[in-house]
Amino acid sequence: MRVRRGLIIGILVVQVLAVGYARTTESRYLSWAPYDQISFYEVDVEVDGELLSPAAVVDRYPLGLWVDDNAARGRENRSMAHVRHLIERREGQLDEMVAVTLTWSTNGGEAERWALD
Amino acid sequence: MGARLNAPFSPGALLAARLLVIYPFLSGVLGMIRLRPGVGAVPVIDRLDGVPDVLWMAIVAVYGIMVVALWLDRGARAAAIIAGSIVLLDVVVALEEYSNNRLLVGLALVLLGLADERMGTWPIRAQLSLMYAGAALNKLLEADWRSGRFVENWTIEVLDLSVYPELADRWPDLHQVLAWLTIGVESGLAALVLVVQRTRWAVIAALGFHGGMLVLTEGTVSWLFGYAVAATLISLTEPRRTSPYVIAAIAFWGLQRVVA
Repeated sequence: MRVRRGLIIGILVVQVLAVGYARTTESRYLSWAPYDQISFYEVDVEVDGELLSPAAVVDRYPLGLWVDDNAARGRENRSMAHVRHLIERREGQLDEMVAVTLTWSTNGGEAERWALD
Repeated sequence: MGARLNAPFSPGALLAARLLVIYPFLSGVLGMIRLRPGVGAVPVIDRLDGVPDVLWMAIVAVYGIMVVALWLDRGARAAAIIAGSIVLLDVVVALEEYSNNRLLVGLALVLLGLADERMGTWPIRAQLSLMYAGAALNKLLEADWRSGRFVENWTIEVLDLSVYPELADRWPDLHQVLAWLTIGVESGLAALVLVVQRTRWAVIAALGFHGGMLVLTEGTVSWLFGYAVAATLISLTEPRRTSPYVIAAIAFWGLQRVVA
């Protein structure tokens, strides 16, 4: 009984901490933040100095990207920090000489840019 | 703890667990738990990429066995904990597949399995309260939500709705009103779901909220989440008959089909 009660409390406390942690970062995992932002973005990738095709970019990242207007595009419903995080982790797995440019607009606002070298 | 896992579910909790455990079958291609490692929640999970596929398939098979166990009421509590844990594992091994829907399903199954008659419904109530409070707080702290800009961009530019833009033309403040209404309803639900004496009101309010969202977004958002919430709410009730709630769950699907 105590163990189960402790587990239940632990599960709830972790979520409370995650909600609190979300106040200090852009990340929104485990913080119950669905549809806080709608961002549309575009990803460009150079590997060893060569620009990848949009289709190759779509295959490279597990982000549900699609090709539109000759660009690899995606949509994020929680936080662009998730997209940047996933790109960084994926590039860490691939371990290649790469330059990634991420361009996005959140809630129809001004374009923003992030680069990973 | 092991002996207590044989304790029977309440009728509401058992029905809720049965409806939650079949969620993966409703939500995607073949509907099954994917369990294909991608970008893990923490870097050490990425090393699981070398784990043979047969192991992941075995875990999926275990999930299938837990579905059967729940529906046959054989070791239902343990089945709920195991099934919920597999759903949560699915969430953390591939963050690119992160989904609040599946997070709720996994957590609700685990909590239903861990709770017993002495704890009553407080674990699920606390979970739902936390979910709605987190959602309300996140929106409240977003400037685009407070100004109504998120709702305006989402409904008109992203979803390209047919009816809503006409309403917004007549009432320019509609975006902001809806935004604050959403924050208010979620805040209210976070409190209401904790009051045992007001369970029926909480169920009606939550189903109305998610159903209303489904209609407003013309079927886009989100019958799956509405289904998961409805199934979880059933655990707070003592249904004498199964059919009204199964009908409610199916109604969410039907509503989505009608308005989409």
